[in-house]
Amino acid sequence: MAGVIAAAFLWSPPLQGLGEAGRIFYFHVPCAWVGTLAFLCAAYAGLKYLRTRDLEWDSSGAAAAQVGFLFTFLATVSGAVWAQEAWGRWWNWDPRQTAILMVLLIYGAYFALRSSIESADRRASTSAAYSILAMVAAIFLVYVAPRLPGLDTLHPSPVLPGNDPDRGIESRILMVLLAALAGFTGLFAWMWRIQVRVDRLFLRREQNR
Amino acid sequence: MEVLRAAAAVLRKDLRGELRTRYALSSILLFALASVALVSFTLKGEALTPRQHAALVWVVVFFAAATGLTRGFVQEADAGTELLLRQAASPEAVWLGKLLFNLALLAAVEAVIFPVYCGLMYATVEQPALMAAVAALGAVAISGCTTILGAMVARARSRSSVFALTALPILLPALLLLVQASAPAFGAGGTEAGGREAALAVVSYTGILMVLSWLLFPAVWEE
Repeated sequence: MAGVIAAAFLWSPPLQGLGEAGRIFYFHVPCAWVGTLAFLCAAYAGLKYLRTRDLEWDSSGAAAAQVGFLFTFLATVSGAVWAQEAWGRWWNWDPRQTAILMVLLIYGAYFALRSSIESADRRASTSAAYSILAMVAAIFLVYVAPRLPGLDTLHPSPVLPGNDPDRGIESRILMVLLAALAGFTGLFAWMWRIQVRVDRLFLRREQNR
Repeated sequence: MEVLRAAAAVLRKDLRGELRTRYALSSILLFALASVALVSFTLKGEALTPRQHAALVWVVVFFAAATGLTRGFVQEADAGTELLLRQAASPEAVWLGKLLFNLALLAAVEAVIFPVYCGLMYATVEQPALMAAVAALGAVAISGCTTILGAMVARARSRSSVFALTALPILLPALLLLVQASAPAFGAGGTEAGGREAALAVVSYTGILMVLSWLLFPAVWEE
């Protein structure tokens, strides 16, 4: 991770058209990627719970959603900072910004739903089902909705300079990006495990009472 | 077709109960009429663009639906009849019956809201047939996406607020697209093709969520 941070600031050439501020790219993109990955993991844990009825999977899914929420929030904030630098406004209802806000709302609702159900088994099955529904809605929002032609005419998607895969990303930029992605994925796995262990401790304390 | 017959029985039971008390219908309708009146009063007949009309009318429909659509399952939980219903019908039949009930409720409410909205807001509907088609599609989308959520929140505390919280983000893609699809009916020019695309996207999104709900509902419904 430290190597990635150093490389992002020192080694990589500045992105065209964005200057030094473009370096936030190496934190913004991995955060968004880890957010998506975490919500996929939460939906997978939900599926596993419904198959096995093992409460371990339930706490694992909730932990993945918590970490995912944190990273999605970081992606939103770093995106807003970048938008201020590149487009001159913190928030301009670009389809992607709208979509990520909706994803945050979806998982906010997931936590609200979890905290409002008292029985552990019911909470587990309900939130497992909701996490699977939520995953589908999130995929639709992030990957399908911004690409609909009808929506594009109303919210023109601003072209990110230097971030267009068709024009080819310079090899050094690509290397740092891939390293950052790997590093953030490792960070996510680590945080997820810690969260699962903390949940397990709480569960055990409750059982011992 | 055992499932269809059982679903029809669930629908009949709910419709009969609703006709006796008119609890859900009157609460949704009153809420919707009050919010249309509020919008109309605060805007004082200001001229809105077709897209603004489309957005406002769907926001009203959504929040009205959020007040009453939990009724189907919440009433079962409150009356303690869940167990009997679990015995009497398969989960799929229960889901389908409740979905049809919500659909009927929404269709009745929309049949009132849309004319009242257009009357109070001086919105001219240039293509009534398109408007009716999009309204029907919207009723299917809202009931299709939220019926399973009703069963989920029936187990929760502070149900109606949790229902609105969970339903809004799940429905949002559909609502955004419905606004898109109904704007041409209010006379927005040049987005006809975009409207059709949006309507197709609503159909596919609702279809995916309904298939998922069908698969997931037994897990939510059974103990």
